[in-house]
Amino acid sequence: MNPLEALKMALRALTANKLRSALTVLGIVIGVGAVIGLMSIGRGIESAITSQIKSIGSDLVFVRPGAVSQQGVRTAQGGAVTLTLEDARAIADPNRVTVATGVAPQTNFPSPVVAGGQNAFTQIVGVTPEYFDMLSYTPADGETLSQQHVDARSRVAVLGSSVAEILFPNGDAVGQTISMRQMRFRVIGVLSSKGGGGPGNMDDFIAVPLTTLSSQLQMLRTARGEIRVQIINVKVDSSENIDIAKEQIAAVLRERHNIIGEDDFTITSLNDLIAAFTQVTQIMSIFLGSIAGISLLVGGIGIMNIMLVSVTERIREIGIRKAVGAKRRDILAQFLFESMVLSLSGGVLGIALGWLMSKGFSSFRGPTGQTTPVMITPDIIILAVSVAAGIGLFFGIYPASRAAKLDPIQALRYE
Amino acid sequence: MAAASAEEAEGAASVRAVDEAVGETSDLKAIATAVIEVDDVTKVYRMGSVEVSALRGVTLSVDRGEMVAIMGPSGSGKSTLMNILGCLDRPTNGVYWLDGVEVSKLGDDQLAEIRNKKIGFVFQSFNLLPRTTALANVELPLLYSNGKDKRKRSLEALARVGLAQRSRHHTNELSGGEQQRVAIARSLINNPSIIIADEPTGNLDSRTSEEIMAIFDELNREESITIILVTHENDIARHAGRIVHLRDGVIESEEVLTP
Ligand SMILES: Nc1ncnc2c1ncn2[C@@H]1O[C@H](COP(=O)(O)OP(=O)(O)OP(=O)(O)O)[C@@H](O)[C@H]1O
Ligand SMILES: [Mg+2]
Repeated sequence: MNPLEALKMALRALTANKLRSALTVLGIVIGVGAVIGLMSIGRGIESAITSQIKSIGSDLVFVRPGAVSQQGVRTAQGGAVTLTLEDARAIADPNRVTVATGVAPQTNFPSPVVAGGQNAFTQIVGVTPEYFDMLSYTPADGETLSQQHVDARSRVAVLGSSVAEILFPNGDAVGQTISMRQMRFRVIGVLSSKGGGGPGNMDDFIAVPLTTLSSQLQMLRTARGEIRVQIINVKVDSSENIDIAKEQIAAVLRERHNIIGEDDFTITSLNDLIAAFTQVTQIMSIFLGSIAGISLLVGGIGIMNIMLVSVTERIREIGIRKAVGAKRRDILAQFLFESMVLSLSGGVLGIALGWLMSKGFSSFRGPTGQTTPVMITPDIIILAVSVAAGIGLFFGIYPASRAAKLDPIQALRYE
Repeated sequence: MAAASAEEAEGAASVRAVDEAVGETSDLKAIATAVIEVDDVTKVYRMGSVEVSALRGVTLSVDRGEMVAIMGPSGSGKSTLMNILGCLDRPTNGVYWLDGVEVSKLGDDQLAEIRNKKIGFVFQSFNLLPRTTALANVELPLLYSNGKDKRKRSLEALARVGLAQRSRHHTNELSGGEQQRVAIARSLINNPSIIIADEPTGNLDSRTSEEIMAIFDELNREESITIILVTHENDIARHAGRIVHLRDGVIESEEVLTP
């Protein structure tokens, strides 16, 4: 029997029972729709967050004190402050780290801040002028720090946009004075917002010269009086050279710290962060996908049920076909085609449903007004269609083989 | 050879209407032209622990181009024998040669192929697909033999039984006689050498029965198709050249009819 005939036969049989076929297909439509919808939403969220991380710069590496051994956290990152401003200067040497285009050491110090009648609790970040450029902060008002400020240990501060809003609700921050830990700083600039709220807020800090901060706080200096730093941000000339940068930086620091065994610093890049994050979103996708998969399974059981009913109803027909020469495989093909047509048409309609679902989701606005992008990629569609076909095959094979095995005489005698 | 052993097997118990001289000549003819030879065929149905012997040693030979009627009381095993002859079923014991092939040894798929190509089966209850056109019913065997010119051949087959103008009708819109003619057209579609008909006129009135028998007569006479049919009616059996009487699963007697 040729496939075209088999397909025609299947369509004829299925259209003879339109409502029943439609209801059976509906199970698969919902299942496939759920898979597509949930997976595309998962993909969308993943790509949105990944691109947000990348907007910080995928060409950055971060050096932190403390080591992480392979078995787990050996020394907490930043626990032992072993990096100094001198380390940062050594990394900045273009003969040592050839792929670095900028080095920005940084020290964080959480502290309450008071200005006029307002107060806030924020991070005081001791930085050098390179910091702003490297992390793409631009002044919305006033200016950022200069080398003179650093050299002179000036008491000047640049406010992140959220801190500025809290301390100076009127927007007249530049030129005003703020005080933190009994020190007074003059505000010389306010940064424009990077967006994004919640715990990942990148506008909630106050930048001051690194030298000023560490000269005031004994704990930010080593016993020998060197300035400690908590992070050295390094910009690499291109993201392909991240690994080279990591090796070159490690070589410099091992030499400076006389390290033979375990490193006392950790170098990470945003790619590491993205990789970790991708893993999380993939687990989420699998979780959502398997929930959707269960509804697909239920749809498949529906197909099997209907096919079993259909075989029983048509035992006499099977007998007639066998009597005129249908072989086992002809009957098998006939019923498999029917279940495949059911599941594949469910798959196609399910793709449409999933697409509508994800469209609906993406037009839904979150609390901060942002929309979540969704992505229906070809691989999701291929997955859904092949899963639907597989379901038709898997749940169709048992009813079909029951039909194929029928004895012609008994089938003809069946009432 | 088979006919001779059949004679021995039946022995004195069977009343043979065939005279010795005719028997001799038909023996020679059987060797040359027998298309069906069954030798000591039995069929036992098992229903749980109960065994029913539907056939208890049937030996029969049918020549090419012959028309044979099988008669016998209800439950004598006529349908059982026809199903075996029609390759729808296998004997429990015994040998069945069809056109020189021992079909009692063949597998399901090979039997299906024989049903498709060599044998046309006509049933008492027509066994047509409902809600399907006459044409589609006639085409059905071609679906399983990848035949060419399906439409054309099916229309020709319908024309042979005088139903060309009804080809688009659904089978449930046709009268019993018309349905049986569709079934005959279906059995003819692959030009079989044998037609097996189990009470083909059992559900029809006597006038329609005669119309159906006229078709069988013509197929037998004009195209030399071997026809074996079961009937309860003497008038129908008279169309055949030989009548085989079955009782309790064995051949009780045979009579040769002179036209
Ligand atoms: N599938 C079966 N299972 C069990 N017993 C069967 C089966 N088919 C037939 N028989 C038995 O075999 C015997 C012969 O049956 P068969 O149908 O061949 O009779 P028949 O001569 O065709 O009768 P009728 O003239 O009524 O059609 C009967 O006793 C019947 O009960
Ligand atoms: Mg019968």
